[in-house]
Amino acid sequence: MENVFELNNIHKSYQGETILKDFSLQLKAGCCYGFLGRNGAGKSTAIKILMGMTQFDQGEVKLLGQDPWEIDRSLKAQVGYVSQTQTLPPTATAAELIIFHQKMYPNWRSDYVDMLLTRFEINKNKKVKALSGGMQKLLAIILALGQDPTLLILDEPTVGLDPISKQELMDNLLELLLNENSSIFFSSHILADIEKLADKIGILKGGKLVIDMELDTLKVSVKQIQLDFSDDIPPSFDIPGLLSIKKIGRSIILTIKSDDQNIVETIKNKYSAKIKLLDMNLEEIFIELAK
Amino acid sequence: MIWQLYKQELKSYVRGVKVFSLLFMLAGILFIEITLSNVKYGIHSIMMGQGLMMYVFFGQIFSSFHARQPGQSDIMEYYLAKPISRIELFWAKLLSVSTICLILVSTVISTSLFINETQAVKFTIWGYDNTESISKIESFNADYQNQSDKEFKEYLHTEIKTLREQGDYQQAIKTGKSYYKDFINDNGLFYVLFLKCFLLVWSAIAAILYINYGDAKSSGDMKIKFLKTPLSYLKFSGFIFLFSIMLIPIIISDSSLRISATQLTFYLVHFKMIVACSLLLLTGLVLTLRKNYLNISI
Repeated sequence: MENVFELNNIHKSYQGETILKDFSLQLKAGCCYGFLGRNGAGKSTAIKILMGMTQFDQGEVKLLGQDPWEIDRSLKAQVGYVSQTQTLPPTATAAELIIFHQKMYPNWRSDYVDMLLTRFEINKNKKVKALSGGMQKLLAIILALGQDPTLLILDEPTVGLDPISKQELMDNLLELLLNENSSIFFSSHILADIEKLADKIGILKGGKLVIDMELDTLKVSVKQIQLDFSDDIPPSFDIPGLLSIKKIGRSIILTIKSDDQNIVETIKNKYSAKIKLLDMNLEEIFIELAK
Repeated sequence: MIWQLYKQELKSYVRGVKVFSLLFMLAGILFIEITLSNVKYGIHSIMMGQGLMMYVFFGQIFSSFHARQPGQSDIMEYYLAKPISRIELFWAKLLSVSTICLILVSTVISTSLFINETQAVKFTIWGYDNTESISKIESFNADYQNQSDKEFKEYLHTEIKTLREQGDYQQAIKTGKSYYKDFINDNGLFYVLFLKCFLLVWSAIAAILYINYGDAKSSGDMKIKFLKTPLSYLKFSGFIFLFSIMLIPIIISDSSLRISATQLTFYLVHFKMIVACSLLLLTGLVLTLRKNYLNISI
């Protein structure tokens, strides 16, 4: 199977407000996809549609090749999902939840789960409600990892985790990715996490996917160029793919999204200014694209 | 899988605070009634128990599908992500909630039995026949045509009292039942019956609206209007239902007949309620399953 999931031309509105508009996204097997967007951009809704938890107005969804509403039990067992506000049965203990999960998932990895519980210092005999919010989130992720998923879907997985737990979780997700068949689709606001894990990213803006590309390609295509003018600064800049203009004294910083490798040369020839190419990290790129 | 889910759900109920708070509340009401308010037999509490049961039952069943609304975080999301079908989820929920309701009602009845004033309750469970009383009441009924309403009521009133003192509760009920057929027409019980029927219809409408529009695909005013309100109606109906049954002993001011009134409610109202609620539940089940499980819009 080439695509582990497909969301094609999805339209979703809620209480008269459009949440997703002609939204399409496909994930290839073995890929780790970082899903970005501002608060309320529709990331969680898109994930819920993918999981068959909420309906949509138009479009088509395929999860492991099937309609998520009608998906076979055996295929659903290959999908691990942890939502943003994951709620586990509050009165169950971790040990009871493990037994419950064991019965549902044929590929359940008991030793691996035990190892993770020990590593994250989660007491198996404690009730869920007695665990802290971060611990509950970790437990939910551990349970999802324990099922040895072909596709792991995580909605804001690192929110509420301490730095050490976050680091260890990332290591385990990387470990999962070493299995060539596994794919991870996760949304996050913590761009450092996405930079660490994702090989492809998507940015959702106004219900539409404005970016859907390899992380490395994105980093190359979005550039910041500083132009230091000694003479008059031109009133406008006519550059293809121009995202923003910032003026600092006699300097202008242009943010451009362009696949043209000669864009710097083009600008140099067009304007009589000293030109400097500035480094951009993912956070800066995200802010430019999502604002 | 249904069995696993059932166990999981049941555990969460039994361990949760909800059931215990309900039980404590009921025990508290029983205690207050018997010690302070001169309302006999703890019947009031049994009725209250029924109201709570209905509330818990419908509230829980229809909240099963909350997770389908955007922005709603629910334990159902956890289950929906698992290789469990919605139909299994629905049955597990139905069974576990039914079990809890059964536990609730049995606990209330056992508590009533324990608190001595038990004859009425005993009757509802182990009613018995008394040939002598039956022939007696038959002759009373024959006399009915020749008496004024007032005289007849007084007559039956005394008879019910006598039958109760003799421990013949089944016959007391039969007598009371014929009495209340008249009584309903010009007294508060009619109001109670009306209120209950109204609430039942109201709840049915609310449930159907919720099932049909709870996750409406259509946009615009209809959707906004119907998305949230039905469940609120349902909850609100539950509260009014509780309130209405609390009023019964007040509305029926004749304290010596209170037992009969309560029993009548069992016979006249409760049976109909059970039938109506079962029908409602069945309709709800079919519609919900069609909509949620089979993903067919109605």
